[in-house]
Amino acid sequence: MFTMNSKKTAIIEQCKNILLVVLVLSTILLLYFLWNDGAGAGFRIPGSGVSGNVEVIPVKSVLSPESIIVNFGAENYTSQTETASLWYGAEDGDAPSFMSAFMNFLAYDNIAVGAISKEDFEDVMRARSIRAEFSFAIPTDDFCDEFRLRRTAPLDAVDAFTCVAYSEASPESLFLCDKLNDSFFRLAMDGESDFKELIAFVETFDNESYYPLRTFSGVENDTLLPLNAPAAPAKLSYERSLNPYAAADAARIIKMTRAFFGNSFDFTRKITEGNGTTVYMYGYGEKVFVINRDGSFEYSAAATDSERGGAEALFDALTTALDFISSHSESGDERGLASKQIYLKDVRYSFTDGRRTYGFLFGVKINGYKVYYANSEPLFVEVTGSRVNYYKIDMIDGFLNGADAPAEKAFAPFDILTEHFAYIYDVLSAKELIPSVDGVSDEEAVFEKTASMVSGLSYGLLRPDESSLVRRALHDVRGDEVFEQNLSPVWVMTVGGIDFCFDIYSGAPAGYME
Amino acid sequence: MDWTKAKNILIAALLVTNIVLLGAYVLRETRRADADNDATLRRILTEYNVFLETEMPRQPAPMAVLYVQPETEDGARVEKALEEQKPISNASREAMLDAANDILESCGFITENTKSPAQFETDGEKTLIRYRNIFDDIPIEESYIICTIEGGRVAALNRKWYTPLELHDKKGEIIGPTEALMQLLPEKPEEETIIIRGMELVYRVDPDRPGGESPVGDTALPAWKITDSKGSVVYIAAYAQ
Repeated sequence: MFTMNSKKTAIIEQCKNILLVVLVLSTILLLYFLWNDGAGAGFRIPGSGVSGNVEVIPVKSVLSPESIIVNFGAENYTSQTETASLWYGAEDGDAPSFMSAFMNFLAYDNIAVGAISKEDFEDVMRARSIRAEFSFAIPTDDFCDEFRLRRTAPLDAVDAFTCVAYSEASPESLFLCDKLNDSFFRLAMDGESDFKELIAFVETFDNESYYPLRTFSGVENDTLLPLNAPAAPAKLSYERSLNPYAAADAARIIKMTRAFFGNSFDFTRKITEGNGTTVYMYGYGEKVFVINRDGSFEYSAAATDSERGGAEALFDALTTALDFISSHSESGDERGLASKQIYLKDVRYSFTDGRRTYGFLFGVKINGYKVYYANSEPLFVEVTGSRVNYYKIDMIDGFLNGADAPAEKAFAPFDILTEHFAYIYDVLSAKELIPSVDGVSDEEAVFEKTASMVSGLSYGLLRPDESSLVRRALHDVRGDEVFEQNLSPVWVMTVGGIDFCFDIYSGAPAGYME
Repeated sequence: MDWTKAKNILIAALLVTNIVLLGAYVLRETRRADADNDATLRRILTEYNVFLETEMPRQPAPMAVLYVQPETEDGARVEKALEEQKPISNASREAMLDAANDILESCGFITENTKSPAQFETDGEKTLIRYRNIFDDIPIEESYIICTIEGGRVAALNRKWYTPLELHDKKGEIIGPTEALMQLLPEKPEEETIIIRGMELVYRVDPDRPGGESPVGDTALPAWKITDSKGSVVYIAAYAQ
């Protein structure tokens, strides 16, 4: 009896085991049906988007003053154009920096803010002083938020600034100016600032001496010119970073184009125009990517309802632009954007559908020299809210033509004006940008008028207008036909809002950019 | 440990889980079947004053984009062919079609995609013979040749043609006819009545494009072509988003 019961129990247990296995398997099967059908019911086109680890360009690497000008007194100036380390401070040292001095100044309580006149500002800056100048206006509250500077209520009076300045003539003060709108503010506190130390620190550098133009010419103009010509840069040739006419770049161009459309790239409309332009279009103009015949690349996107939100602060928009550049350039490629130094050259403010829109114009430096494009710009990104609605890139790579810098001396900067003032006057006159001089033969009057309108001098490399180049049967290492293209070292003198280029060795005019 | 008791609990738990999963699966399949059900669709459309008077096409297989070359007209060649043609022997459709085919042949317009028998339309004294551009059994929309027969001869030839070059190597899923019809509804004025007479999957080169230059290469994308009783045509982009 006991044996029979035990046998029956064993059979029941055996059945339970089998049932358990069947139930486990059926659970797995049912889960598979439910999950698999929901998640992978065939390939559907996802929206664009770039995944993967992309090294994002930090704000600090593109934003620093265009120049930091120090007046050591007695009209002896210097101008620093490589400003990042002096502005932010060296990463691994305790050396004084403009930002730390600025931060410490704003940390004081009871800061008083008052408007002053342009003349008062210029007077005070004639004493031993330092000023950092940007080429565009930065909203004060956005700047303070981004760099965690203390923002007290009186600071609200200063909407934006292009220049931060300190003078030992008024050591308790700091000056914030928006030179584009002729507004000048004095911030005063009762304490010691670190700027005096900063000026002394800059004085220890091997500085290039600059003097106001009036010292050279007698014409009333405070624009600074270097006393001596700098060492001429080594000669460089260049190529487009991505050349739509080079077969060797085809795969890289497809890779970049794919980054704009994500997986939907395979289902975009491709239009090839008779003039060599190629257009990729997704949806009904929702996203358009154009490979222009001049070798530039252009992207535009229409706003979708889900993209209409987003912050409106300058630095949020700049971060959006930099994220976009990072994820849509060829990072990881030694010839790509990462290997070059881009910098923020201008910010253009506008409104789209009632929302603030930022146009970020980036310049490029090769071998530390600014590259001036004769008829285009290296990189432009337009951001509304958290969305990039326009992007254009026309990037180049520079290559050394021989290892050594030429022995030729650079042309003295002031001599450019004395030799070519008539040429400058003629161009400005034709554009009605300069008051006419009675009797154009009156050279002295023409010189004075022209010299009084000079507002800047810098040097860099000029990328010529390629349409004027003669196509030659040259071939690069990859066998592609290329232009013989050189970056010409030039002086760039800004007069009446026009940048006039002059060959840095001969001083000969090399065109102008409006 | 009491294994017998543990097994009982496990069996009970798994049974409940299986019943829940099976219920969810059956429910979803039923809903899906309902959504795809022709009658259900017609009922929904009727509520919106949209009446279906055509067969519902089947769910298509995934499709790739088709790269095409827009053809430009060689006017001189067409003129020459029209001048050199023989008069049409009689007014039968066969004779007219033969004459039209001869012209197309001499112009080099007959390809494997130029589909005949063509459609005949009468416009007063004129008879229009329309040829469609069909690639892989799918029409390329707004790509046609129209021969106008008048006065016993081919009087004119109007051609807008996209030569298929190649298919992209990747295919994307296509929305079903139900989803395409549903996309009509948000745009439709509430009081308007629409009678749908035709629905087919086509390749279409969108005439709207950026830039002013004439393209030498373009792309035809899959689209649902929906024709109503008035002859109005609506195209619905067919790639699933």
